[in-house]
Amino acid sequence: MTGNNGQNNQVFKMLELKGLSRRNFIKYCSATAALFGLDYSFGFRFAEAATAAIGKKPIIWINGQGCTGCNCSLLSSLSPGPAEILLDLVSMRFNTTIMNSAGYLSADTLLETAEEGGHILLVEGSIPTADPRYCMVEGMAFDELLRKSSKNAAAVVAVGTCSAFGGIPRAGITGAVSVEEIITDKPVVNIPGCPFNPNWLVGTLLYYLNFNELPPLDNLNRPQAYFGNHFVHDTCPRVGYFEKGQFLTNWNDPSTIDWCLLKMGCKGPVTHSDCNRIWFNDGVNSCIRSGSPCAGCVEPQFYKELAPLYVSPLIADGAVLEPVAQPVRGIDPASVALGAGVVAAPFIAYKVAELLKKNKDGDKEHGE
Amino acid sequence: MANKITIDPVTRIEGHLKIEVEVENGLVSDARLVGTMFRGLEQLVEGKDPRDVPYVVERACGV
Repeated sequence: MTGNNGQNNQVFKMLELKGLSRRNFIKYCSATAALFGLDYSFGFRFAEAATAAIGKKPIIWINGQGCTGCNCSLLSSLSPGPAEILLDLVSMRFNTTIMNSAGYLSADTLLETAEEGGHILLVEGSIPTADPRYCMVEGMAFDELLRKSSKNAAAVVAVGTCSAFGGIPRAGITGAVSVEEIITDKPVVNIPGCPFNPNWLVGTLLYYLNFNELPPLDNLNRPQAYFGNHFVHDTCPRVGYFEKGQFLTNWNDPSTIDWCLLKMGCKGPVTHSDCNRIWFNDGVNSCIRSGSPCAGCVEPQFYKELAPLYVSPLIADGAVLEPVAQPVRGIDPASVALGAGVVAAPFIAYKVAELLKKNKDGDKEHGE
Repeated sequence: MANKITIDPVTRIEGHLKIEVEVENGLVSDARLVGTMFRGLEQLVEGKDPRDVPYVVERACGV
């Protein structure tokens, strides 16, 4: 069907000239199916056939113990928009949140695509190990579904902190683990974040589709370009106040509203990500800029070891703690100090200690 | 004789849902909705800093 490339593009272009977007084309397909007396779930299959004909990489998106927030993060991407991602870039074969078909129709699509192989498997949500009944899809335990759909996959990407490191569910009672702990026979790219930034996934996909290989990864298998090289702290819009030793300690004081959030529990100095550079919601804002301390959501220690969120890991009772190397599952403990590089974190802690000493008298402590 | 219809997964929703419907002589005689995923967020926040709770439990649904 690849010979139809030009023809299909021409069809899309023609439709667009007439004011019909590709997204509306799916709706159009559904309506067409209804006209033919078919269940409107065939609409997705029609549109799928159209995109498959253009020879796109098939994508399977499966949900484990997650909240679908990462899925929504991807779908709220505006440049490229969801239609461009789903129709131009890839062929999304299975994604329960947006697919038209349900029940056996969707399950068959998943299993057929997984059997064909060569697809990119995106996994959202952690995998329960305490009891398989904690997550069942199509009457199948989720770890079984994960193994089945990753067997012939060209690439496995864990999207969101739940699937990358266990995330919030790992702190619970269901024995939630990451994809890496289930899929041990092939490399897994981790794109953590709660939720992740769509640019991280779209960028990784573009890299993979262009070069047919995984992008350079850091020691936690996160794409180096987005995570490995810098801390949230490095590009923080409040870093100037940090340098001056001006720390927000009272949420109700409007005169300090833009000050450094370190004393309110900010994990920015130990968190690797470029959140403050590319921001979320297509450059609208980032957590710290909108007044919320960094929760460290892209680090493997999130949430369990980084709780409580509003208490800084570097400060207790006004005194600065030295970051302690913590063993992380399957990762060299020597290279991880509270999720930070061993060189950078003590340096920042030292700086913080100095600043706090300087401001000890003039600064009232509120709680932490 | 009851005819059982199962729809699993239900799509275009957040999370995991299964519907089981039993049809007898063209009428629904029994129907069940099954949420097929559990994380135990309530137990998870037990003993945690109360300020963390809104942050954690809002992850019940990300849609």
